[in-house]
Amino acid sequence: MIGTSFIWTDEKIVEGILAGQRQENLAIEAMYAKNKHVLMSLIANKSDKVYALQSADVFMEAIEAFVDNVKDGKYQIQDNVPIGAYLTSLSKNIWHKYKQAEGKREARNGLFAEDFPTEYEPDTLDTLDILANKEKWDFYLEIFEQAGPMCKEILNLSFGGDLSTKEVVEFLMNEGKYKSDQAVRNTKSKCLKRVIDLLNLSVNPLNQLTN
Amino acid sequence: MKDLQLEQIEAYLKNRLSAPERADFDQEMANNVGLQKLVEKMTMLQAIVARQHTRENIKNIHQKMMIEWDIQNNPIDSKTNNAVWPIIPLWRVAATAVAASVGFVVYLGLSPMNMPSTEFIAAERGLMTGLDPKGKQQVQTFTQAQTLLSLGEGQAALPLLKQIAEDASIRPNYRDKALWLMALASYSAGQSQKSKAIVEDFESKPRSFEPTLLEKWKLKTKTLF
Repeated sequence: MIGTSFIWTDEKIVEGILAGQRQENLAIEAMYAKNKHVLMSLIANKSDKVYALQSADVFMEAIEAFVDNVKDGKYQIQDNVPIGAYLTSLSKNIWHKYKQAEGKREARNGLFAEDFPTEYEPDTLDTLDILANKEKWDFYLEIFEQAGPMCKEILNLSFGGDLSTKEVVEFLMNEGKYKSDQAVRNTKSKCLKRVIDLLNLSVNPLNQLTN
Repeated sequence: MKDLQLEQIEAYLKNRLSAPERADFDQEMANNVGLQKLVEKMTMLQAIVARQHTRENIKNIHQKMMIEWDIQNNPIDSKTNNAVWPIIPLWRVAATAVAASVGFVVYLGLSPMNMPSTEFIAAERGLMTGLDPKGKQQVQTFTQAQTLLSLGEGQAALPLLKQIAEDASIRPNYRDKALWLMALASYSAGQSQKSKAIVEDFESKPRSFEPTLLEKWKLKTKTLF
């Protein structure tokens, strides 16, 4: 477990996320530690275990949306508005979205109010941009999913791991996943073309709004 | 899209081109809208991969926190810091109760009946050598009845047990015991209704001998069907 919350101010958390790598992970852990009460409020009194874990997943999505927003340079720290307020508001909205998807619209005015804490009056926060940004990334990550696990692995190594094609070839052949240099190169080429085609075919309406 | 072009774009995005190569690439891109769009898509792909990596990281951290805080096992009420015990839905409680009841009834119906020990009589009445002839005969009758019953000869045991149960000179404890054994013998002889009636009679007043509750339930269940 990383440092105490008084070290990780909201400003430090944002700096950590922007720094990336290990600092980013530490900042996210700190964000969890600092806002444990938000997570606990979300899952509190949810007697059904699955229901409680869904609430926890919603909190995770809120964290991801917040991190994406920081990385995209769209988050500005505001006085007297802690990150926890954003996380509460985001969680509430994401939860609402799921409930709508499940056709539980009645939850909006009834159960919904009981589901979430109102400590920060999160309804007064405008989290629309953050949610739109989240939907944009959900959309693109879904496209990436469509490429399949083999392509995801090879592209993750090439772009996420920042390896050269030669290094990717060596890695995958050492893993015994491919038999020849050419097989890896061909697969990588096909995967790149496939994802680019998918990106060309897809039109994300939110892209226009958020970029 | 040619492989060479894709590799060149990748090298450009990863800052792996030399300064002159980069300048040439920038020049070509400025004059080639198709290349510009391709670079845009590759840039997007690079960002998607980075976000995928972020998502995986957050998932791992989330999982770690959930385990550390033991949320997966015991959701906690943040206001009281007490574990939130799951409220089991009524239908599940009812289904479990029905299943347990059925299981118990099956157990009662299938498990064998236990007979009270014969040694009890001998111990209570002393050694056979110390008994008067009548007492000796009573003990022999009772022992014989129990032996017959244990051999599945309920019909043969019934008159012997009746004799004991109705003998006013015998202490009530033995008579009650014999009455209970009559119920067992009747059931053993295939006379469920008679067995049921004897049990009802047995339970109609306080007895100095009481079989265990489980034994009573067993016999009652067996005589139900």
